Amino acid sequence: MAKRRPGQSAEQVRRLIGLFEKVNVDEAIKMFTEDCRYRFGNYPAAKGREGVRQSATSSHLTMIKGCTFDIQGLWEFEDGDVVVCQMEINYIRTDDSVLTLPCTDVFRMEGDLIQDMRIYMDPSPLFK
Amino acid sequence: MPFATRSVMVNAPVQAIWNILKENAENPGKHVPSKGEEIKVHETFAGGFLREVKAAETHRFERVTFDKAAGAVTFTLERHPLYGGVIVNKVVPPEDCNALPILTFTMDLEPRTGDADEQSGGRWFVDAAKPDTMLQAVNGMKRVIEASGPRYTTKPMSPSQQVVREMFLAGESMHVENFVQFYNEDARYQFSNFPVVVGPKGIIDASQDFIETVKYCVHHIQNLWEIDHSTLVCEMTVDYVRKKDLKKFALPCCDTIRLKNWKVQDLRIFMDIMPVFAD
Repeated sequence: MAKRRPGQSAEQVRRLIGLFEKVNVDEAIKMFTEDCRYRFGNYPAAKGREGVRQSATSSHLTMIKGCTFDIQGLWEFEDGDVVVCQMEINYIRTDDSVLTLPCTDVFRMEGDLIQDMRIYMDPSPLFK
Repeated sequence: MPFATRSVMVNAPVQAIWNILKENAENPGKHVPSKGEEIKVHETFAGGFLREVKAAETHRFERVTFDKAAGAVTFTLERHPLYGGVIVNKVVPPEDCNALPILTFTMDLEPRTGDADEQSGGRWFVDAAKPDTMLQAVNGMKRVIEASGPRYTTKPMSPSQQVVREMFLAGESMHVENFVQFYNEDARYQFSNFPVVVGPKGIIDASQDFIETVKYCVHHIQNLWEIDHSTLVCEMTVDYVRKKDLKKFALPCCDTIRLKNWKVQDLRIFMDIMPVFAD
């Protein structure tokens, strides 16, 4: 596999987050490997692109009409095999109120694709 | 009810640590100076023995058992009028490639009578379970082990890794006064969605519900990455054991940590702790 340049994996993560902001799940899941894993909070990990679609739409997107992500830290480790993204997520609820929750995601990359995405946050205020 | 647990990193191979824990139980005084206790072995059996410990302030019978696979020497209190339960000396191997073996001393006793802690015969146990006594005991054993053989690591742990790992170990004992010594006076501490608190006092005040609810916790570090010498990311699973029903919750957690002057200046904990507080 061709060696990545520094920042390449971080750019991919930034692109993925942009797609989630646009609620473009069809394009977002193409950024994952076929056998990927996606774990949201304490839920069991979803597997495969369709698993990502299901998990991302059920856990994130049904209670809200939109969201924006303020990235506060984006770091690459292990030659870009690992990316950590610390952010605040602003969820816009159906009544236009905004709920901001802190979140950190850890990504494992395979080439330019995401093999594993782990979302560390407490989403419980979303469901209240 | 005397309960205390304390863990420290030990820079020695697991086997060497185990050997000394075992010898210390079989032959007290060889490694750790005797505290004037008179010890008599009454019975030996496969995997252990029954001993009587007599000193001015304590008289107790202990069933001592060795579980090499678990790395545990367990002293089970027997025939005691006030308490039942165990004292455990345990070594666990490193869980990630940069870690050291962890030595844990735990005292976990249940009173047999309502006023056990107030009785004169209970004082030794109550004193032994004080957080500082426990820390002294486990640190004393660590010093003995590290002095007894060549150092284990060829690649020293970075000072920032060491601070972070020691801070987590201090947090496991639920002794918040000790934990906050790892924080600067103006440190920022953010636990998931809870309000941000500042400094040791802020952490102590904000931790009361947590201390009421959780008996102890264990951090299983999967990765501890250093962005630079003062900024780290730690990915782990944390086991929380609840006081009321001893139910264990293994929850995924990721922390970002910033250090200043070798103390924590900013800790942000990203996880969903809610299951621990739910019924």
